[in-house]
Amino acid sequence: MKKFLRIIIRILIFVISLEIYLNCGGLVLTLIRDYKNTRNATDGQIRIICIGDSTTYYNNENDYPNQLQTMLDQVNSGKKFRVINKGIPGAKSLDVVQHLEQWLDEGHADVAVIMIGRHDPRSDFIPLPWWYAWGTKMKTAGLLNKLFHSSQDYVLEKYNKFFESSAKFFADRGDVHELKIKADPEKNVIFPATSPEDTKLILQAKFLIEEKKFEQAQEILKYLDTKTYANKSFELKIEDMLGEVEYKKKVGWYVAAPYEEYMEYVRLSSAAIYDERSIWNRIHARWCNDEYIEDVEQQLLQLYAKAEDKNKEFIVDFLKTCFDKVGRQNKIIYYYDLVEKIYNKGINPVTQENYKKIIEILQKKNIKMIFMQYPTVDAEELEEILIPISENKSFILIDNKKIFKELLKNNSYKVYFSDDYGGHCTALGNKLIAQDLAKQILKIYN
Amino acid sequence: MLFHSLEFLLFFIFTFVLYIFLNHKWQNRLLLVASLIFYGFWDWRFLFLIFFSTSIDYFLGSKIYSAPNAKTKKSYLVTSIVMNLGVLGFFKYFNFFVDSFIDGANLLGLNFNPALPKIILPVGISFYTFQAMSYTIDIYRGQLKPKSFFDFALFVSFFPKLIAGPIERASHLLPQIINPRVLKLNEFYEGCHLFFWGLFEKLFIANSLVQIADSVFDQYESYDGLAILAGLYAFAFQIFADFDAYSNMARGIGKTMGFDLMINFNLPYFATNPVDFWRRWHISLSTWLRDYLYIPLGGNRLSKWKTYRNLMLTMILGGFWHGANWTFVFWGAYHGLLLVIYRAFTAIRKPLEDPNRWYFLRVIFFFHVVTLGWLLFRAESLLQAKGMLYKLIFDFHIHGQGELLLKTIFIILPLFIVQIMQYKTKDLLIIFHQHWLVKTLAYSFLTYLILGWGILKVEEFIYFQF
Repeated sequence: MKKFLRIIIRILIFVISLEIYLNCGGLVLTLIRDYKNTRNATDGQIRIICIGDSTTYYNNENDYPNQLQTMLDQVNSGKKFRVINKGIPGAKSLDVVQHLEQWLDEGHADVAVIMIGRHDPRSDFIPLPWWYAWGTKMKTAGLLNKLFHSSQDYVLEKYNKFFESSAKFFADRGDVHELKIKADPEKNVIFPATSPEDTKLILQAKFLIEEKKFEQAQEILKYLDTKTYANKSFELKIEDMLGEVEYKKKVGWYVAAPYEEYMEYVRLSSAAIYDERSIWNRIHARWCNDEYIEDVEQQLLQLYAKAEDKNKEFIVDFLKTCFDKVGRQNKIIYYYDLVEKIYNKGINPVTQENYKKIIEILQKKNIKMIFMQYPTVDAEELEEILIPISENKSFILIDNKKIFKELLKNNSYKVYFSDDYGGHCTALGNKLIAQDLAKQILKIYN
Repeated sequence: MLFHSLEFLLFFIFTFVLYIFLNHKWQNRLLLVASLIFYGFWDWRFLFLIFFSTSIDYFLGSKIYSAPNAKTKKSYLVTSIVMNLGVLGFFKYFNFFVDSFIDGANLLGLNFNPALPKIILPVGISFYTFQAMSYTIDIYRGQLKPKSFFDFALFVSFFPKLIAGPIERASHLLPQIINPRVLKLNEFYEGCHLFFWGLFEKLFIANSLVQIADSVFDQYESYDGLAILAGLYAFAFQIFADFDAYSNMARGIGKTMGFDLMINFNLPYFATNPVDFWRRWHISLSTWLRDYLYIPLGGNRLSKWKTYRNLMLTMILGGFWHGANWTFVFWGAYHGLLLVIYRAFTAIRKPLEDPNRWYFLRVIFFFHVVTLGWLLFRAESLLQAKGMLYKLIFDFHIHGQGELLLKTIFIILPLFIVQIMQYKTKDLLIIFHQHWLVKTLAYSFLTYLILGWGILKVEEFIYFQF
């Protein structure tokens, strides 16, 4: 018992000290950065302060402030620029309001570049249980999470051949349907159109799998499997989902497809975040035409009535884009509103209020304002908020999403973003941000 | 399968759990099978080679033992050495010799361009060939009797040390295989500690330094003297940390299973002279070369000039062992020359009254001498080594590109502190022997450095290529 207790104590000390080291490490890094910022400060420099959260912080030569500095150095404009990185991971707009004046004074800033708001609490914010909130704040937990995901990626990448062959092996024995999905290269979509009725059913099956109601999902899929479809790949998709159910029932986890196809999923689904939010939308957009749209809407609304919140958001978002394609304005607005109600994304009142204060401070100090919206978020909304609060439209707004969206039509999401959810950019992504910013800054000073 | 990969973790846990429940006979069989799986994981075709080497050496070993007279004994020994060096030479040096031959022919004006076979270098071949050779030579010398084939096969292929040493001697490792081993809890902890420390050396120190060293060596034209100095320091510590990491991990894995593999590095950068350095650096190779090359050549028992010749020859061949490149040969010659100069120097000067006088100054001086050798070792070509040396001396400004140097110092600082502690207490397991609270804090700090700052990419160890 005593021995057991000692082990527990050791583990506790280990975790606590690890947490302390992690926090101190961040602090030291920020101190080093601030030291670098104040070093070489000379008169006659145009000082640009970049304020934001982790997307600004990044802390290596690839973050956008650093790349901006390099770009401005290369341009022969006769002026000297100095970029100061004031990104703080996890910063909220309130943090900016509280520290802005201090930062501006310390940095002797002439221009402020601000990209903030992602971490602001949503207005439908439901407090998490304390232990969970605490856990998500712990850096150790984040580290473990990262480690877990990277090892998962490692296994997927390295052993996809093995998974493939084992899947084939099971398929040959008739235990599980073959998992491989054949992409349709001609049409460049994985799933072809069937009927709205089938759409509804396959979506329903998808949701049921998510809710772990495997028996019911299986029933639906088996029904779909009895039919024949014009395009073979839809049949394969159904078989794939059947395999998924089978696997999940037995082993609890499932690798959907061999790696190339898996990456194709990632590519499509990530790119779709921009256009249609998910691969399902991209696929089912094929039904979004005058011929089917009424029927699709009817079917999906039936599903909507029974769906969980998470899926409700998905359905409404889908319908929104669907009507967007057909161009029925009243419907679009209706579903946009509905999406807002469920998801409540965009800029909430808290952020709005803080932006007002930020602009007040900047105007008082007569500092040039450049606002940016995250490359994953639409900028129009921000513009609508900024115009009334800045009296004479004395700001520049950079719509990063517009640039990224254009490029994502041809390139993979992973080229520009280093993670799936946080919107953190890769070196190239940050370069895009810096490029646009550099143009704007040079415009001001030339 | 690399020690710091997910596969190895699973492989080891599986092997270890089986291992503790088996008796001695089955433990050895398990280890042999595990070792073959471990090796075959790289490329199953390598297994044929190791099987071929093992069986021939085993056969010749028995033949040498039972041979009726000295002459036959010798002929079997020569066969064994020729076979081993032949295999090694074919896989490692074939292309080098052919290329050098073609270069020479072209220099003479002959246009000679034959089609060459593409030969892959089986990992660890230099290590296990030398170990197998030590077996036949020891039998020839009457220091060893032939053992059973499976024991010998396990000795050659024992997975912790298979790929990059320590180059074990038959007389040291074989008895541990043949006699039953006792598993002790404390040894298990010690093994875990060694493995963890190796993991730290690899993932934090070596993997971080490799980026600095690579960028400096690959684009040395764009750096100034100060940055090149940083690159040299980075490489000096990278190669040490990388290789020491592997040796520590190997020793750690051995320890958990009751084996005691030899210490391969004993604070080499605390050496003050070349003799001291080679007693501390890659001990298993330097003693191998001493026992099986230097001493048979006559060692230092012959005339002064013959001793110098033996030193040079041993070191040049030692350098060549690292790989088929002229830079390795020159690196070996450089160290041979250092040994010769040191020997000539000690012959004429009086020994110091106080051997510890200016100790750290001498350490720092000799570290730089060794680091200069690493320049030869790491450079892709002699031209590059020359170019870097030129920059280092004539493009050196104290206010130059100092950022890389700062980075390098930051990375090696933890290693540096621990090494000083190890040196002061003469205890390589100094962290392990601390109070449990200190130990826990230290482990957690090292974990922080690995996970927060280390490069977790599964990169190969440098010494795999040799």
